Amino acid sequence: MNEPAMKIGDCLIIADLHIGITRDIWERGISLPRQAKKLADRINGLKKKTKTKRLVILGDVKHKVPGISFQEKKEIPEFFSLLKYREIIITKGNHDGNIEKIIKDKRVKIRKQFVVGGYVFSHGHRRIKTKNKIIVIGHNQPHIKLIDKMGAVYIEPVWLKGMTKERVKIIIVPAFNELCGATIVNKDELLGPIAKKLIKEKSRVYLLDGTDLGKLSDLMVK
Amino acid sequence: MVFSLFSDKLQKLIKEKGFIEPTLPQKLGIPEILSGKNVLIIAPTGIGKTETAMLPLFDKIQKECLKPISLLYITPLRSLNRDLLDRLEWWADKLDIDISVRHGDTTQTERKAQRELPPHVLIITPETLQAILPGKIMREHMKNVKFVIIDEIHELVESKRGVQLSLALERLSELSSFQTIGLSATVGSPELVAEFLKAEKIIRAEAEKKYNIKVEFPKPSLEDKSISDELFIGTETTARLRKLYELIKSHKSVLAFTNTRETAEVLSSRLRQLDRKLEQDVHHGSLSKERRIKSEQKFKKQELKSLIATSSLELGIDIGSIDLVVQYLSPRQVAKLIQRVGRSGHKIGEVSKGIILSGDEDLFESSAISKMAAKKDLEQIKIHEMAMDVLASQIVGLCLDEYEMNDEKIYRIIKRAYPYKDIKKNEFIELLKFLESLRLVWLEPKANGFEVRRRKKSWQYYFDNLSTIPDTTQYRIISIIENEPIGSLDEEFIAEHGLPGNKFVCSGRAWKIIQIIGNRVIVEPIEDIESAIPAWEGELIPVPFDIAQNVGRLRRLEEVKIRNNYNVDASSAKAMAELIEKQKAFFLPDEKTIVIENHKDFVIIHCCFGSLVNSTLGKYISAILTAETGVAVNMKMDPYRIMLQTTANREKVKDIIIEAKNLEEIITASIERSSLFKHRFLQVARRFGIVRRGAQFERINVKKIIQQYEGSPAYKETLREIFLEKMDIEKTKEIIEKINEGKIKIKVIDGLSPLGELGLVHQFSEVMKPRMPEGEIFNAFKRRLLATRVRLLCVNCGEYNLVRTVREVDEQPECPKCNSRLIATIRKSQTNAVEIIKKKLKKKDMKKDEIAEFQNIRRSADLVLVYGKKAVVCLAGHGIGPQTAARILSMLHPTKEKLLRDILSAEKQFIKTKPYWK
Repeated sequence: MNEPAMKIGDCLIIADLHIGITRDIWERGISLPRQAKKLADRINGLKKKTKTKRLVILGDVKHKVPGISFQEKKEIPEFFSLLKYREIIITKGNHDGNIEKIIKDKRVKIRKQFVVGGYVFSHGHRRIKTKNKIIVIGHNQPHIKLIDKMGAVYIEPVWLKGMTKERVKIIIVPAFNELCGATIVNKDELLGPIAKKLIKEKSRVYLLDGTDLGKLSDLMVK
Repeated sequence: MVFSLFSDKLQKLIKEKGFIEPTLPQKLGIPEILSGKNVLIIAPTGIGKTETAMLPLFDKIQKECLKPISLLYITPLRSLNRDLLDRLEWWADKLDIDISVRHGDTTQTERKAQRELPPHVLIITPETLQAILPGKIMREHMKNVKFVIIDEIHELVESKRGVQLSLALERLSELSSFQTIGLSATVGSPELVAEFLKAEKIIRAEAEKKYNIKVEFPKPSLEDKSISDELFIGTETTARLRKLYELIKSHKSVLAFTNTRETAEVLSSRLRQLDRKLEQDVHHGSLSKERRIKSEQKFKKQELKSLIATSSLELGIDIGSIDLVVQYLSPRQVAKLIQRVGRSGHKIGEVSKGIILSGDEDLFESSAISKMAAKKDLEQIKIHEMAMDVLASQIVGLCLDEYEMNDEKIYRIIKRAYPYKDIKKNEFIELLKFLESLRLVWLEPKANGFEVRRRKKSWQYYFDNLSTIPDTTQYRIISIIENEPIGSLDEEFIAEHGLPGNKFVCSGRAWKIIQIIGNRVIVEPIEDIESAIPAWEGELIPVPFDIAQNVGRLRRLEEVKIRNNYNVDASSAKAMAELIEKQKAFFLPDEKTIVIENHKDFVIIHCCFGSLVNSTLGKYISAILTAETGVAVNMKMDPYRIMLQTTANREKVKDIIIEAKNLEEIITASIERSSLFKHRFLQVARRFGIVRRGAQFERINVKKIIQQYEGSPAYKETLREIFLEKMDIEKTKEIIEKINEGKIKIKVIDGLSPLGELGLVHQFSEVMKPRMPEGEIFNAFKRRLLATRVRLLCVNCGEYNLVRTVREVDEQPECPKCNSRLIATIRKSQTNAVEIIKKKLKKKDMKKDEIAEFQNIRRSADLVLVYGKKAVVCLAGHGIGPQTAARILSMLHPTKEKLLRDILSAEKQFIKTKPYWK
């Protein structure tokens, strides 16, 4: 489906919405259309396709740090009101300070982490305690840098699936809002204590359409 | 006589001024203007066009005691305004009519005066009109406008400036009803210009101007060979240069035009080398305004015998009596040639004399153009229709003009303007809603439609976008070898080709881009000229289809026929015939024969279809090849060929052309992905207020911004603009049809034919320097390294601290104070190093970074101790610290050159990774 989202059980998992980022970009001199409706439409479309019942957002629903912008106060409630899910779980991210104050929607639960089946979900900016062997995080907004024969550079969002020394599996979900910044996984250091534990030789990179690009350790560029 | 139609007072002034006979435009134009008709007057420069329009209007203003502002005189150039004022003031003073100029630099006091005591005649540019239209007081004055003159309208119609002006005039006509008079040089489609202007009558007064334009091919002599080595230019260039020199010597005042700034610079500098006493100078858009004005004035006063100029001097101010115009290499368009040559023989009845100095293949194009010029067979005008970005600012402008606005009214006003005559209501409403989403207007729904209101943002947006001309930055090209600037590149060139690894030609050499840092392009010289693109590509105007076809026809003529039918000298005719003879040994591509040949990894398609069709066809072929082979294709093209660097063979390329379909879709998709699209989108986005002035793009991916606007009016406008300016889908489709009908044939041959070689290599021959031998590169690099100033420091005593060039450093430097050989070389700017050493020696407490720095200094000293001057040389390289230096020095260097080579490659590595170090 080429969307940065995945289905686990009856849950749809997405990460990093950064509603309010347009305000940040506007301050740098560029106007962009409002995001709430667009994002909600995409998510509702996915709900239909995947037939999921619950929505898990892996943190960073809002953008401004610290504080809450006027735009966020307006757009975030609007965004949730447009969603058709009966149950929505947010695992709080580093941009989500005081988000409880602006979400009055009864369907929304805000957690530090959340478990479904053998999976534990979390934003990824801090350590978590868990016995589960698969951790799913966002926070990184992973992208890959590809350079073709003629020297043209392409930067594409990717999934990262890998393992730590302790044989814990980690899945890093790309940002759902494409306006977010990027961590270039084959160049920059990964963000957060969980992602940092990944072993490059034991991590694989996938494009949004599922193309397996191979081991991260083989993809490194300067 | 027409002058007798005027009042006695004016008739007397005309006599005083010394006008006896009216000129042709005056004879034909004055009665029509007096009758109150909207007219378009077409006449060459220098035969009293301005007076044709102004005398009857002066007369009317005076006779009828019209209230100010009675007349708006709009010209495309600010410098023209000044010139015009000087010319008209004489009449105005004597007739007691107020006249003044207004533009961006007009002082506040003057503006205030114009508001309080408006002049009868106001001279402005289209942008000034934009600025005064919403002004409350100025609007009151503009209610009196009875006449609008648009001068040099041919300069405006084809650009977005013209489109904007057409809308501004509709806005003005909401205030007053006025008579419009357009003044134009000879154009290809006068009817279209008249329609654009809404003129009821076209007055053609071109007959009086005679042109004599000859094509000459200066053949290189033996003497030229030796001169060319001295001047660092090719022999053919030298031959042309010497001819130019002779022409300047044998005439009073010569204006020479080149197609690019670089050529203008090269010619002027070489002429200076040839004869220091010759009074000549260069004139182009990149020079400062002061310098341009100074040289214009000197030329006018004949203190300069010659000016070498680009299109910067094509139109505009009277620059004196020129007796010859030289066009250096093909002018590429007929209108261009006529415009340029028209600058000579500025007096009534004089013949405009021009010479095209040509070479090689260029000869064919020049000959075809000069013949078309003689027949006045000019290019058709292309108008930007339905430009959504211009319309956006004018809709906002209308809301600023008046508070009471609604969709119906705006729609009615804009639809009157020619470029929007076909706009549909739903397209217009889509744009309105888009403007609302950008918060540029406020839509208040009402019974059927909307009230359209201004809002806070409207003012700033409108006044930030008075001009439709995009601001562009220049990039400086810096050679890594000499570390010196070698030229500059346009923003658009960088947008299209500015990737590390790309190759281009500039200052007579081929270069490869290592890295782009800020607005500096770091390059290294390379030998591979064949796959490089010319840096001046963007400055070249497209060669139209008809000219390229005529070149194809000309290729089939015999020498005698050429000589009899074209205004060319004998050596031109001979050179053309010889080239064709050689080409015939392979196969001759002409107007209805495409020839495909191969050479190394190139496939060359010869097709005489002009710049736009070839660019369309080339883009299409590349897109298909890329999709099928998965490897990007390098393409360059000119009006007569498409050159592809590809793994595919000739037959494959032929099949793609024959089977071509879905042209529009495939090219659209390929354009959307291109970096040109990105660049143009940002310009359009500026005109929509999406991107504000001074926006910061550092942490934002432009592709993502574009994605957000996919399908919006801004997105569609970008595509429309590129298609109009850079492509010709219709013509290309026609040609593919003709290929399939057998009217155009395709022949596949083995290369490399002479015409193929011309395309690959020779188009650069113009300013091509002889190849720089490898050794020379290292000499230049060595010179730069040895001239670098470094700081020498004694680590042992800390007393010796000196800045020297590397050259002055001893083979094994020693401290004169303590005789220690522990001498560190560090950057000249690192002045705190002595403090650190002294601290260390006195065993004082040191901060963490100071300790790190000391270790660096110490390591540098160790290297100098072991390797001597070699280490000093090494450490003088950009970004080479002790660590890198140690790695380089530890390798074996049998020759000095090997060491230099290693230092150079370390520098390159540093520059490549530099942007990522932040």
